[in-house]
Amino acid sequence: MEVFKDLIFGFGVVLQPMNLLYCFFGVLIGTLVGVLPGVGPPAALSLLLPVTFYAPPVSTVILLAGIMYGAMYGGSTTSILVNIPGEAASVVTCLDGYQMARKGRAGAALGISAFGSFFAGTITIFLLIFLAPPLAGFALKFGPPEYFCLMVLGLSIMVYLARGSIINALIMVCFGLILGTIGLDQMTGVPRFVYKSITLMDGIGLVQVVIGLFGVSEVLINVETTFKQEIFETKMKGLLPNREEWKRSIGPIGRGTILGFFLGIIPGMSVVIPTFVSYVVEKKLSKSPEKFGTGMIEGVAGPESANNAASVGTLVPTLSLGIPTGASTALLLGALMIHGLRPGPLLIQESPEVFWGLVASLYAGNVMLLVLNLPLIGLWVKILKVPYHFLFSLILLLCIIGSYITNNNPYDVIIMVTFGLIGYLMKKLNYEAAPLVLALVLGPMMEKAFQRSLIMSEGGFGIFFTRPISASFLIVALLVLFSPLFLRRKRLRENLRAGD
Amino acid sequence: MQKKTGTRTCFILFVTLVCLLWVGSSQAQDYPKGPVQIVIPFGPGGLTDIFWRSISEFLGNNMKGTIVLVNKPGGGGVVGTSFAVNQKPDGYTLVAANSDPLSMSPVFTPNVPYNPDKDVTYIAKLAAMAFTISVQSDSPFKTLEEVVAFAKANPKKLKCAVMGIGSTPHIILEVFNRDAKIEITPIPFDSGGESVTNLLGGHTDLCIASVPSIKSHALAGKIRLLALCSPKRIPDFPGVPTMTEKGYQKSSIATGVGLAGPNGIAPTIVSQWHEAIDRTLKDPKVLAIIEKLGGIVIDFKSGEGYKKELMMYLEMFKKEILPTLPVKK
Amino acid sequence: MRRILFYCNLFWLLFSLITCIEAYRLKLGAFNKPGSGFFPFSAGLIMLILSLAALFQSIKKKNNVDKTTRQEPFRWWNIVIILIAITAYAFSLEKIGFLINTFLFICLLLKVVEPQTWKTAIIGGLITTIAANLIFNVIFRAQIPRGILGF
Repeated sequence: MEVFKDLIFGFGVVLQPMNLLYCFFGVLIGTLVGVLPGVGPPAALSLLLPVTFYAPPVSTVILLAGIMYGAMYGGSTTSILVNIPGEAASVVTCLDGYQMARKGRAGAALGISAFGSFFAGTITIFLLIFLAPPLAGFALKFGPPEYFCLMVLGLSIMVYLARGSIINALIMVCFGLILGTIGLDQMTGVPRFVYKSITLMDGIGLVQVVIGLFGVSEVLINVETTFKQEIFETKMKGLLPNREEWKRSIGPIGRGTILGFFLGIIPGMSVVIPTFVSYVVEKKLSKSPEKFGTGMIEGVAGPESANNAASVGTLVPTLSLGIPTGASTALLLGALMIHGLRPGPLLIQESPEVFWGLVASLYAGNVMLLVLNLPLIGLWVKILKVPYHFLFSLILLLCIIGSYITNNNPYDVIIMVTFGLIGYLMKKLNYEAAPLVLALVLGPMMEKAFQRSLIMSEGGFGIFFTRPISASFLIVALLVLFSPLFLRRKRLRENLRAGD
Repeated sequence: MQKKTGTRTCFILFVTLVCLLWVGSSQAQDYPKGPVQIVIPFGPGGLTDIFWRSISEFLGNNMKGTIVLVNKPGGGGVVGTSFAVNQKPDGYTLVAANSDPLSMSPVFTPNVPYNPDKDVTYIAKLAAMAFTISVQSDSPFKTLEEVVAFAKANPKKLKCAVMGIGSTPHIILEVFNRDAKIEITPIPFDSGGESVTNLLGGHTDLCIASVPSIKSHALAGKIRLLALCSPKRIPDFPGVPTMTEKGYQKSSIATGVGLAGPNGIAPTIVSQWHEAIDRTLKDPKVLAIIEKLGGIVIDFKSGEGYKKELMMYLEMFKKEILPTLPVKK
Repeated sequence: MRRILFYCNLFWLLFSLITCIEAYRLKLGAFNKPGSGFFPFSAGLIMLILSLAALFQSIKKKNNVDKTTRQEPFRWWNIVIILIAITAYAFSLEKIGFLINTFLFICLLLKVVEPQTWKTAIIGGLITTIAANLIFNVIFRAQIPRGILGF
């Protein structure tokens, strides 16, 4: 098949020592960037942009892409070890990954995360090659009405996210939605709930909220009493996942990969969303859903594969159509433009070595990352052995720097502290953070999509139902929301019958 | 006896040393003595960001100093601009002064925390980023006149994707609406990239976006450019007329890219920058990079010239556009 | 426990009320041409209903005797100190600069929250500050401010 010929050509490009070196640097920097909270791929990419002027275009692209998916590998490390998401996409990994670490299974969590990411990365590369053009065309069909209905579906899944009281979870969702409206209304330019603060004008940053809600609040909970009790169980029961954990992870990894890839293709889809969806799917499919949140490995395997698959997915519209799907891909495109390349449908034809070299480098990069990350597991796990009375100050420092770096704004740190306090109170009072985070992400997107759809339809609501894709999302959302009701009615009827 | 001469020699040596150092340091340049921070009030990856990252090394060399670029995004450029103009006017904190936060936001966005007239020292204008009005290539509209004709017959029917309320593309549309006496509805998106994506997907009829955003799609034949909002035609698309040629001179608003700082920067520093920018913008290597980006027209003006241009636009926006908008101030 | 839940839900009730009022002031707009206030108002309204429901639930529920006897004292002051320390760090960062600020911060935390000896606190502070500076300022060139003293 011609594709394989092109692929071999691509490998020929990548396996040149220069490009391999670029690939290595890319994934290394990406991993570091991912590990540090608050520093994301866009920051690293923009710092390195001038360096790329002096490099040939292929190497540039390899370097930048390496950073992008390297960050996905690294982001889970701090999530698992200290409950601080390195990337917004790693939030979900905190839920069960950190709990696994507390039970002494940090190594297993890190290992499954690395393998899941590797598997997702390699499989999605093939999906990218074969499916890119038709998928990209499909991605274009997503207009505002489709986005809105997809978000509605996303919110309806929230019901299953809750571990405890559903009402509390729903209150958290509303809270997240309201928080998401803080800032300048993009549609009218009117400031909402800003009260003349410049910091709030741009809304509450997701990074700061997440670091506060998860990282800081965890520290606060732990310092309530003296540290005589071990925060982390020190007797590591083995560094890598055991047989049973492997077996349980296969399904989630596969599902996460598919889910992440197809959701990631949609332009503008935050990488956060596929991870949440994967988590909820795994929870629903599990035989013991109530244990999610206490250290179930499925809750790590699925989302971790999903976020890597999604980051490859975002490359689909970028490479085949030249459409940026987020800040990282926008920078990638910018770098290509500076080199005089034309990202878009012509890229494959005009500069095949760039395209195929990039694709081949994705595979090479994934291999490098696996090799890099596995031995590091031992190192990371040792960090947990640092006595907590010292470790906690390091964690807090990391939180502060992470929140500050995004905008070089000290008020962001204040936001983080506030949410640290809020998160602490929430933990004491049994409110969950995950629905809040998802609502904070989905809310603004949903509102914009809604308003744009109404502009498009000049006020008519029919637009959501007449377009096939959005209508189907709505139907699924309705099913999701009302199916528990039906099930309950059925059970009620059965109980009544049994009681006769 | 010996001790005294010893001390005296020491003293003489010490004074000599100090004199040498003093003389030496005054030979070294006064400014910049350390890295200069240029605040980019937009996020990484945007056109402004890429532009400055492309030229910063060359500019730094010409200034004989290091330039450090810092991103402070938010509020369409207001956050970063406000931060920079509130720093000390020692010349070590400057801002990538785009025209949007300085001539548009003060008019259209409430509570902008600076006065673009009084709080800013304008150093220079470097370039202008051209916007285009485009449609899909399979759209029935082949020229701008056809669009106007259709819009006159069907008010509010046509939709145009723009980059956010109060941004240059949006204002271009509003001015165009007013001058052509038509009503095209704006759909605000978050970025140029998103506007273009929606145009390609057929969710909107028109799109106003920067040239780099649409360049590759136009060359691939997916998008048709109807007009350019720029002072003159650009080499990438020689066949595309400018808005001025079409008779809508007021809509030919290009986003200005400049350099500024807090009010009160010493004129010697300003002229030093002016010279360095002049040299940088004549460097063929820099020009080559900028040309590859596309749609950025070099428009070198002095600080005074830039300020005049911005104030002129600001007045026009305040008097003519603001009353017609439904946006509350 | 029941008392606390009651106050919680009361808080949400108030919060949603304030949200609705503020959102209303932002103009709700028509149903098919929503204004800025529409979305927050709807979310606030839903939260209002939910918190009322939760309020009733918490009143109706039987009193759960939930007295967890604590063996160790509940060191709430740790939490307060940490929160204040972080806030102070944020505000003083641009004045004092990264190096000194970090050093003071770590020392403070090590000394106060879980008291260590002065030696441990200072050494820990130094190591952390130097390492953090290496990682962030040198390797990442993240431009964390230098402060008045120039470093």
